[in-house]
Amino acid sequence: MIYLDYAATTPVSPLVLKTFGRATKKYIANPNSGHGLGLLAADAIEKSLRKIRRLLQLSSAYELVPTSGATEANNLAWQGWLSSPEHQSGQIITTAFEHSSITANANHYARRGYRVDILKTDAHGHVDLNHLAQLLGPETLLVSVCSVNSEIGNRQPIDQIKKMVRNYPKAVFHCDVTQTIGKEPIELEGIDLISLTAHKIYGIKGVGLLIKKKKVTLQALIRGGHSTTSYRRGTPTTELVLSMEKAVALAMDHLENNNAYVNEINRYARRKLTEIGHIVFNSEERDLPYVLNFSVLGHSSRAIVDYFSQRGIYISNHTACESDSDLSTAVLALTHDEARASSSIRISFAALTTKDEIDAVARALKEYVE
Amino acid sequence: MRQIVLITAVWCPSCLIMRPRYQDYVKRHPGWQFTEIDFDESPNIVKQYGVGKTLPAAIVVSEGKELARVVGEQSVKELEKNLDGYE
Repeated sequence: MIYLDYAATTPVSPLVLKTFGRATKKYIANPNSGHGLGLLAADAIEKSLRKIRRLLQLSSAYELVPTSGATEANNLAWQGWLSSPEHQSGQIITTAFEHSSITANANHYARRGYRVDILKTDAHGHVDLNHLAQLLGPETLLVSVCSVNSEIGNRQPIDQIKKMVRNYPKAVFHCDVTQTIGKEPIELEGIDLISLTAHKIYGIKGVGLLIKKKKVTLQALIRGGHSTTSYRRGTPTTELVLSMEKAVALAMDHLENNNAYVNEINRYARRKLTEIGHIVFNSEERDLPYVLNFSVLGHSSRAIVDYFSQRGIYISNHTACESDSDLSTAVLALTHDEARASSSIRISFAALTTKDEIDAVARALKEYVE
Repeated sequence: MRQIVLITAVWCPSCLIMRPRYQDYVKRHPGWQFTEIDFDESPNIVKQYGVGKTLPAAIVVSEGKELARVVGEQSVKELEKNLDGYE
């Protein structure tokens, strides 16, 4: 079996699983209960979230809201902010390179009469900061731009964007950093709302975070009784939060070494794939090395994914969160070329990826196109 | 009277770009109307119009008859050129 779909999800680290198991046995009580065992669990969650905040090098101006993953965090950021009575109309700025949970919210609010502006991007998929400067104004409520697109790996100028949004007091800047955390350094301090998930960094599926500046007030999406956070009621899952802390700690520990290794794997894969005809790279060498997107011109991406899958090689043709359409919306937004978007393949790497696996992919693809 | 039936989906980034262009066109052209239909929520209408996987799909309708169809992203100029002939 060759797994090259790490941008969709990663296998769970045995150390994370061990932490999960231990916490499950140790913290048996509901963290919302007022008795000693409940308080013990609530305290473990609080300490764990504080550790994650420190690992991400964020100041005490931030609070962390555990969610079921990045999709829920994105929804909480948008809907929590825009549900406020003073945000019932205004302008939202985003890009065509966002996760489908952002695009879905953008379409939802556009249909409700909000002005939704899509930032222009250059030929490399990077947002045009001059366009952002033109669009920002007193009516801007929300700017939502991900740090890296999951299908192509193109990065966005997050540092500049957060500085620009800061000048507009009614506006907040939301950034989904799911594809960056644990892969390369990112300066999060200064971003108002940050989404991430554990299962992209060898954590368990079903837990993520919305990290928010304390001064940013959101409306809760999940209402209920008293809980460890007012932004998401219900019983917090102590073991999931503690396992996420372990995943973040491991990811940060190995970030530099993993990044250097994956860079090498990416360059190797490019060399091997270049030897096969019909291939055009959609990811550039300057993009995040963990993702490599290319089109196999004249061939359906769905058929290639199926062919590989039958041979025990697991790759993808677009993110796991879109429609059943075989068009990659990100490749389409980048190239404006339907032929490239319907023949695009994403392979995504990890420190677990070997050159032998890349050789096997190149061999299978060569067989397929010939 | 001309009507633009715009078929969009919430997961579609091109729909975000094209929706305001159609709305703006209709605003500037008296006698035109704009209706938006969700691709996933109205499968029967989508089937009736024979809409494929590329969105948005704009169908220009007059007295129940389809006059023209514009699919995917178009610049403002291209869109004007495509729609102006049906005034």
